[in-house]
Amino acid sequence: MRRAVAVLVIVVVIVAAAAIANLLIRGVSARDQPTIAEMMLARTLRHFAVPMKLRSAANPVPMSAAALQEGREHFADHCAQCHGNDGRGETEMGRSLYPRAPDMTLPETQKLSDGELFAIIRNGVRLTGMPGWGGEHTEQDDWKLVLFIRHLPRMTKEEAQSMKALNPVSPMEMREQQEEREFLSGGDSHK
Amino acid sequence: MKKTIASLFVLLLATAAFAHAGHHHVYGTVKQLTADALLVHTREGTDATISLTKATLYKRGDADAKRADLVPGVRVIVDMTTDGKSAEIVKIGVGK
Repeated sequence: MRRAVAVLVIVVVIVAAAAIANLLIRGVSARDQPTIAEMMLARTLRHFAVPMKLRSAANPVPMSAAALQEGREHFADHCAQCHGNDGRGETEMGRSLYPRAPDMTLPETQKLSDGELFAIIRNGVRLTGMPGWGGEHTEQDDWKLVLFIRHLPRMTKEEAQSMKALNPVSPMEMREQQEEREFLSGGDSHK
Repeated sequence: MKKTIASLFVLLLATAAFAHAGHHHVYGTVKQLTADALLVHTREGTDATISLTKATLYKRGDADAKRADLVPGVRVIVDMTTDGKSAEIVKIGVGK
């Protein structure tokens, strides 16, 4: 028994020493892939961060073409910069966050209840890049976003492409778009 | 026990760096279209072979275009997929 405890202590010390050495050598970067332990911890904390009354709440806004369109427009304007129009998180911002913006078409997001999605939108997720939008949006706005998130797994590439016209455009992107238009119309666009 | 310790070390130290690649654009003129690729003479003066897939979209302005619109000499801007392996969108110019 004593021997087993001694071995366990040695293992713990070695692992801790290796962890500290690794930390000192490599530093800490948000570009690293989050570990499985961190992801599990983050998901658990996120679950407990949702108010109990919301965990099983159903969306009070019925699905309709108009509500979905409002959710789509809202998503393109406020969420797509990190999550992408298709919700897969494959954006420069989404890939650079720690943890990464999730692929919301996957079961990890889709199996969350409507209320959990709503709470995440309104309250954000601490220690991640997800802001809490509760002070900015109405509850109706956020329930429509939940409708749109539910629609993501069935979204076509054409639909995602059409949302580009609704995305916020920075001055640099405006210059790029102008450059593209000039080039495609036969102008001598600069390199 | 040795195996356990070794596994713990591997688990601890195997934290891979994650380098991301942004969307890459190719500006140029169509040189040749094959069954699964587009040869573009880029505005930098080099030739680039770009893979086309079933998922590749073709646009002319805001309207949808067709793969068959990629005739030699026409100007294109290709938005590559995030992994840089194939074309995500081919924007086709209005003239040569």
